[in-house]
Amino acid sequence: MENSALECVQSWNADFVENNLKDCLEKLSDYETWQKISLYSVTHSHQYKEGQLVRIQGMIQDMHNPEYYVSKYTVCNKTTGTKIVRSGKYRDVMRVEPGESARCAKDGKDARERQNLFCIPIPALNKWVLDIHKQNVALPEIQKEFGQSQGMKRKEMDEDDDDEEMVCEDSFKEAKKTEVRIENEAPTSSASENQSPQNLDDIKNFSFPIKNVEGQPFYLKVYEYDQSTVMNSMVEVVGFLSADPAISYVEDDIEENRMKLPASLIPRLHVVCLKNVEHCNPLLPSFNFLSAAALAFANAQAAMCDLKIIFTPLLLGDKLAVDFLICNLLSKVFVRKDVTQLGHLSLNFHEVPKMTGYVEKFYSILEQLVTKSHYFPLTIEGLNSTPFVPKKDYTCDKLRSGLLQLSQGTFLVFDETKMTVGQLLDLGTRNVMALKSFLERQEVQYDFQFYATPFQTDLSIIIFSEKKSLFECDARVPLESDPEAVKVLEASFEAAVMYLRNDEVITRIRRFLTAAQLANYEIPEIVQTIVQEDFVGMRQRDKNFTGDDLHMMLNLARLLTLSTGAQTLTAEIWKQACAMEWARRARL
Amino acid sequence: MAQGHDYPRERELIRTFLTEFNVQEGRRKIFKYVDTITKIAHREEVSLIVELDDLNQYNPELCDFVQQNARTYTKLISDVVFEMLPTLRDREVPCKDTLDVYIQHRLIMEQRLRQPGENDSHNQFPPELMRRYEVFLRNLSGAKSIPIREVRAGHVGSLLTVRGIVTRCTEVKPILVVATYTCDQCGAETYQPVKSLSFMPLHKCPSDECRVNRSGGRLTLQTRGSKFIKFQEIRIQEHSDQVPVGHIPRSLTIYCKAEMTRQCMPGDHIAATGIFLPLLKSGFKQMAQGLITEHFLEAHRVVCLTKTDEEEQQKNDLTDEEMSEISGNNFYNKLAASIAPEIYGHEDVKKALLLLLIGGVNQNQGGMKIRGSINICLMGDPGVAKSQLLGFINRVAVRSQYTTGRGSSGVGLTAAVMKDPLTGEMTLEGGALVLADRGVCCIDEFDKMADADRTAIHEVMEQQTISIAKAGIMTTLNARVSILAAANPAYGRYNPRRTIEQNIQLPAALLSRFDLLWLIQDKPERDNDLRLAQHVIFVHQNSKQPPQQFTPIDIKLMRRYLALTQNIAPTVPVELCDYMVEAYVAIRRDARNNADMTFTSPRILLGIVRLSTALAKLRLSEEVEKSDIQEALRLMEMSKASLSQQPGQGGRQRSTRDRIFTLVQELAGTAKSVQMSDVVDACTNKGFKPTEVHETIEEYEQLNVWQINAARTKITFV
Repeated sequence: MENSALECVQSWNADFVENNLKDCLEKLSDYETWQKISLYSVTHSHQYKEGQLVRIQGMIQDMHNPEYYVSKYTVCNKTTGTKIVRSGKYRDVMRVEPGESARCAKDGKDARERQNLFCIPIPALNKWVLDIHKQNVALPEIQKEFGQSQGMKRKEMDEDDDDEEMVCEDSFKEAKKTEVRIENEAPTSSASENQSPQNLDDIKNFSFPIKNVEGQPFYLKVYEYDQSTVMNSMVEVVGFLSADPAISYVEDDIEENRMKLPASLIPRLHVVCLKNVEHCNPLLPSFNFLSAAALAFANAQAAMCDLKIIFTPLLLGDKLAVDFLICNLLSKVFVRKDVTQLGHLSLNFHEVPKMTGYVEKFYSILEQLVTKSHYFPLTIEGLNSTPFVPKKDYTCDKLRSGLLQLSQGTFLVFDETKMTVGQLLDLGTRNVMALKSFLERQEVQYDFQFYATPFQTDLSIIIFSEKKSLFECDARVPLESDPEAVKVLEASFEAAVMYLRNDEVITRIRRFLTAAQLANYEIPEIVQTIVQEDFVGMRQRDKNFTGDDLHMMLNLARLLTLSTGAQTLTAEIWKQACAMEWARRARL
Repeated sequence: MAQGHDYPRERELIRTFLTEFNVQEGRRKIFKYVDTITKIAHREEVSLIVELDDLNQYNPELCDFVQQNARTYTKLISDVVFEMLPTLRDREVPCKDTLDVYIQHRLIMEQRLRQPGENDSHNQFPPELMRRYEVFLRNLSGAKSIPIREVRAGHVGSLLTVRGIVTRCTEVKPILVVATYTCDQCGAETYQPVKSLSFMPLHKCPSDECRVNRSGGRLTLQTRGSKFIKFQEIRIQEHSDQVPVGHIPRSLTIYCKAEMTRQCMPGDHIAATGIFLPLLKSGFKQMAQGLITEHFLEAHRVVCLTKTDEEEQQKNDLTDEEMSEISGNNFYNKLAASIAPEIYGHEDVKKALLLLLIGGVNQNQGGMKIRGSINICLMGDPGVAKSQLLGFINRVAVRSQYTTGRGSSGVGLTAAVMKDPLTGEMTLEGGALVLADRGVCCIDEFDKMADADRTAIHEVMEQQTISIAKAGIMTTLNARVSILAAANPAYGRYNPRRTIEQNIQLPAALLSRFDLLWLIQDKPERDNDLRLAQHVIFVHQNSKQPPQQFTPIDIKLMRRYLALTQNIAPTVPVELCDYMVEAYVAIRRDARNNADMTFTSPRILLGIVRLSTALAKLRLSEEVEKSDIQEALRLMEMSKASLSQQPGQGGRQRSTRDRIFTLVQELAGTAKSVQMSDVVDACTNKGFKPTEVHETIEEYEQLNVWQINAARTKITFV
């Protein structure tokens, strides 16, 4: 009996999981079982049942205070007088049937803590990733006995507007009605900056770093919380869905929750298992990642070849720029210690061709290859109106998101060719400062008004500009255009699009980029001595050559190594990296 | 509630504690609680503060109980005090307000109407109504504050101390403690104690008369007869240093009542002691509240923290073990090396920065203010880790601000007049320099500051104040900061042939205010380069810092040790004054003789005093020693040497010996011989190591330039 129940993941319920937590977690560590749980999808939201086990992917955008819940309460049946102890875990509302009364210990001894995380869909996720997710979504099966086994009539999410009202007192009814009205209204255009969010569109404007993204935010209630899940980490979560309209009422009175949106807008998820994921490439499973990555890595040669074919004409035949671009695509911060961060490689391409929409077109190719990317035109208006840095809003006790609150490994393409002459306002100036300090330190100072707290952020940045950019990047590459390539630029873009129509090619590239980014790397002893000698030599020749330059070269060497599909540095690649950097410097 | 508590017995214990506790002061015994309660009896005092320290001294077990179950015991103490009141009242007390009059009337009524022994539960006065005082507990002075993050369900009911920054304060409003109703039929009064934030008003009169007659008397709430107290809700948030990396600061709600209100404003750092309690709901909400409970801290003590309080707290935390870790052999070098361990070399710069963190002693006698804080300016070619050093100091310093010269306007550095978003009042908001009061202000790109802002810095750097005349507000704010500036040379590279002013393009008046000016240069040198390369490769290979000969001292530990040094104000003993003066005179003489690119002003003497007191503070010593002065002079000399270094000057070893020899010659003057101790002193002051000096002396002895007597105390020229 136990075993069969364990097998049928879809029918797990809160009580079952609580009683067999260890077995369930073990079961969930199995990839098959994990995949069996349906991934939550917005389009099918009406088909989900209260208390159903679902799987979501997202990014932690905010952390609220922990809340205390009653872990045990006694239910007394008034007619029969029997007493049952029920658990409050994985639930928002007490389970009390008509004719029963509940009682919990007065002194709060049964209070347990659970964490409250706010999870939004991974921002800047590209369309192809979403498409693959959509294909993979297994429609939730409608299970008849499911609702009954809960023992209490549960309302379905989508019909929450009429029938629950009979249990509420007047004030609540009114609140409920107004809220329903808001929901029924056509999405209002973004509310003014200072208002706290009222409906789902507002909350998206407020909490999503990138606006106008579809997707469902969740409140995660985490029971076993270790501190490893930090802000902006990507997570995959399995938990019980809870959107009971009664929650809003329960929470209504609690100071912390007063600003929370009703469960019908933002469902609560009672987390059974929470996993930090390093990447969100659906073509590479997060389980068994190493073997899959090794496979993708074996195709490095082919993938690199494809990348060069695609990007060389687009970067006007500039081979050096292509090399740097590929390095940027593979870059990732791999060490952080005090004030040193290594591994990032932000790029500034300047002298870009004066072709309208060049950067947009370039980005449209890029976004087909990487999982997460975002294009931002650097204009005066854009800088003055889009907050870059997240800021704590104390009126509603939430973190207002900013453009730089993105998960690890997101590509940000800034288009400085759009910049015009104009006046930067307060926000604009702050944004510029934030971006500058980010490029320098790979961290963003979140504004908590009374103080700022640094958050480590790992983004790959490419800035396109006509002349040297306003922002100091790790590597500045002036494009050296081949006049032939400029002439056929339009055609090259079309060709690139055509080339990427090939499924095999594009899958190969996508897999390779993710796998290479996360691969391990080492420098063998023998190469170390070569590097040391070279450094001393370079210092003798040019006393301006500092340790930071060595960091830069070693970083390039690392990225070049990975790009060839290898994981150990060779003397040859080291020479190549040096040559690449010297060639770049020669252009400045 | 724990089993086996003998409350009547404990009640007696508390009574004896309150009546008998006393402090010996001179010949008299002071019964502090009795005194306070007597005052309460005469309506001269409204709160009784029970210090757990006293209780602990009297009965540790009871104190423990109180801490664990604070709310019950607060009530118990309150009951005991109420019983004690009549015995301590020695004169008739005039009624101070309406409630007093009401209470008096009620007492008189009760005496008249009630038969003794009658027990009418409805109409009995709730104890809260008759009491005009509050009991507050004060936590043990040794009790540590708990980070807000660690306040857990297990703390419910106990007394705890937390620290944080106030993010929100409500207005102070009256809160109903006892609601009084009168019946429109029988006129009887009914009382309802209110324990939570909301209550359900009573409607039906419960008095005997109405009940028996079924007259259905309706009750009306009577404002004047009810008891209200002041109430304020504040919300505090964790300090940034308590938040683990990548987490959002947590917050906690505090309810302040009566005398605990109006203790703080948003933005204040506070320590609050209180009882962690679940919020009780009444009526329907209680049923529906279901599974989630809200918790709050009922304030018993709210203190605005100044920086010194916090430092004191940190001092207590330093254990012997940690002490021995720090104060081992060679701890000066070790501490200095622990500053930005990932930055290679620059030992002397790091030592100087360590002294900057410690600072000298502020003198403020007879209206003459001499600053104790040490100002340092780091100059250097681009890319020599100046900014990293600044960044590290910014993190280590307990209070610090980081800003760039270009990024901060005069307002950003000094102060701005702002409109308060809550009240709309004009307020003065401190800029970086004011916010860093008693701390460090790191200013990057110092040379790129606008001229107007520099004027503000002049005042800060010597007078340690900022004067403001803006928007009708005229005031002087304290800015007792150490300034750590970083500047790039004017034309890309430092040119040693030019003066500092020319190189940095800052006026001499400003530059002379820096105690130490360092030029960090990065010169190719095979050994160093090789080590640097190894270091860099190691980081790339192993994703961590290479193992070092020593383990750098943890930042937190260092911060606490630095806090410890702040409590010491060393003095320069008289016998060392002459030595110091002589050294200064020598520096002046040198400056005159050599065409020096730096400048020597009387400020240097003060600088020497500051550096040597800082060194004494570092040793936790109350007195400056000769070695401190020598080290201070050495640092000065090294800083000067860094500025006048000639590029491409090879054979440093030889030149050192030459320089030492010249020094000895100078020292001897026309005399034939010179004391060995004088030589060593003079040389160390010039920044030479004793070993170098001895080697030189021996070398020249072998060359037969001079002879040394057998006791090795005297050098005689041949």
